[in-house]
Amino acid sequence: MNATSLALSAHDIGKTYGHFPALAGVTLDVARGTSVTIFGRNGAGKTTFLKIAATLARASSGDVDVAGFSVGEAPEDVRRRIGFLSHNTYVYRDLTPRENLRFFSRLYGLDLSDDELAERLGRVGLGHRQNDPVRSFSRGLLQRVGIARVTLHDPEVLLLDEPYTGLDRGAVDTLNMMLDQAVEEGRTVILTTHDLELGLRASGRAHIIDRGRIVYSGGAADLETREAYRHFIQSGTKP
Amino acid sequence: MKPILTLILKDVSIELRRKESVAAMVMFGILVMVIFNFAIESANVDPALRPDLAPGILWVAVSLSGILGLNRTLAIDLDNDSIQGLLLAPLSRGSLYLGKVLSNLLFILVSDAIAILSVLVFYDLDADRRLLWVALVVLLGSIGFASVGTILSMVSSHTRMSEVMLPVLLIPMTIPLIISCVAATATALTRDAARPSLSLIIGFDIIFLVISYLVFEHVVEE
Repeated sequence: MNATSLALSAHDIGKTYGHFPALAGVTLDVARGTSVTIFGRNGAGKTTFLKIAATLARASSGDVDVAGFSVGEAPEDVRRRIGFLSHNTYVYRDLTPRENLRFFSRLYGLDLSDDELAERLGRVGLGHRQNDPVRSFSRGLLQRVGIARVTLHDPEVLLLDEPYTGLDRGAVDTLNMMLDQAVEEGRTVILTTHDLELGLRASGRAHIIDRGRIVYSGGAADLETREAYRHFIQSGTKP
Repeated sequence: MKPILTLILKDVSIELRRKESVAAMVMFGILVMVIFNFAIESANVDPALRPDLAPGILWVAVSLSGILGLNRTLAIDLDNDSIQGLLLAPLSRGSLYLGKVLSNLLFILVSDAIAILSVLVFYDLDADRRLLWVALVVLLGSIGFASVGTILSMVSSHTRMSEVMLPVLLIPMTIPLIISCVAATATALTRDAARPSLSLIIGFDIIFLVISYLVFEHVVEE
């Protein structure tokens, strides 16, 4: 694969916190318009990897390019092209969903009208709650605001860190719908999760990260992937 | 410039809704004045000397209420980890820093205005042209205070007991600035209305602002 066909290209990424190696040489290429799930146990390095790709953390070693731009050299260009969602939605609880979207859209240089904001909120099923303070929202509703925030600027690459955590059935369906639509539109989705079924459903390819290294890569539909998941994630041993 | 204005408007809009930071800063500033007033009354200080105490007391109120405000305004961005949302926006870390400095400065200046009025009332000062010099000294001092306070509040937010850590870091670092501001305020308040020397304060402002702007990126990224 050449560089332009890659949504993400990570080469030998290392990250240490003090003496603790959170990532110990992750190399991963993700093609544009594909959907990839990274599985891993707590502390395996999934979140650290996504944070580096999202320019929220700095790699101790190695290079990462996202959407054709180097994370280290052109972080603003990377940020313009990614949407990052974690189990924390990063929205302001004192503002309403509409005010949150207006604020974040202006940071992205977009000047969306009230109708456009209402349409964005309608897409995630919040049309009727757009003027309520986010503080009064349940976890599921909060995540819907987060989804609206992440997709506001039509990002090329979606980085989703444990996005299903704490979601009710309705919110899981909304998220899955959004992911399916994103892939149909040619966007790239990279998500991390513990949940095998949700993770495999959402992706075409699966990777397992363990102790800061990619230890398995395979097709999401392969039986071998399920077997690898069972060994690495559930029992913590190699197959 | 537009993203910086957006950041300021967001903080102002949340503050207008919560009414926490500025109200707490103003109340704290007034309380400092009242406590010092009682202390001076009970010590039977010569009334003619009261105006001489005003500059020091004004800057105690300005700096302590400023610390309180810095902690409160940062809390807006730490709630729900919203600061990560800001860090994901396609603007430079420097712009983000300037936006936060200007928000903090705005809140500090509102509190400062009340502190100046309180010091006029409590310490028998005349509201004449000297007040403009005092206001200028307070403005310049607050710029330096907000510049270094914004970055240190971010540093202290990564520690346990962040609300305690901020004054522990900020007060020693701003002592030269505060001493210069007290001296300049004292000069401005002299009866012959001498012009205070502002060069040292402006120097501190520039140094604090430039260094903080440059290192902010390293403070907010893991």
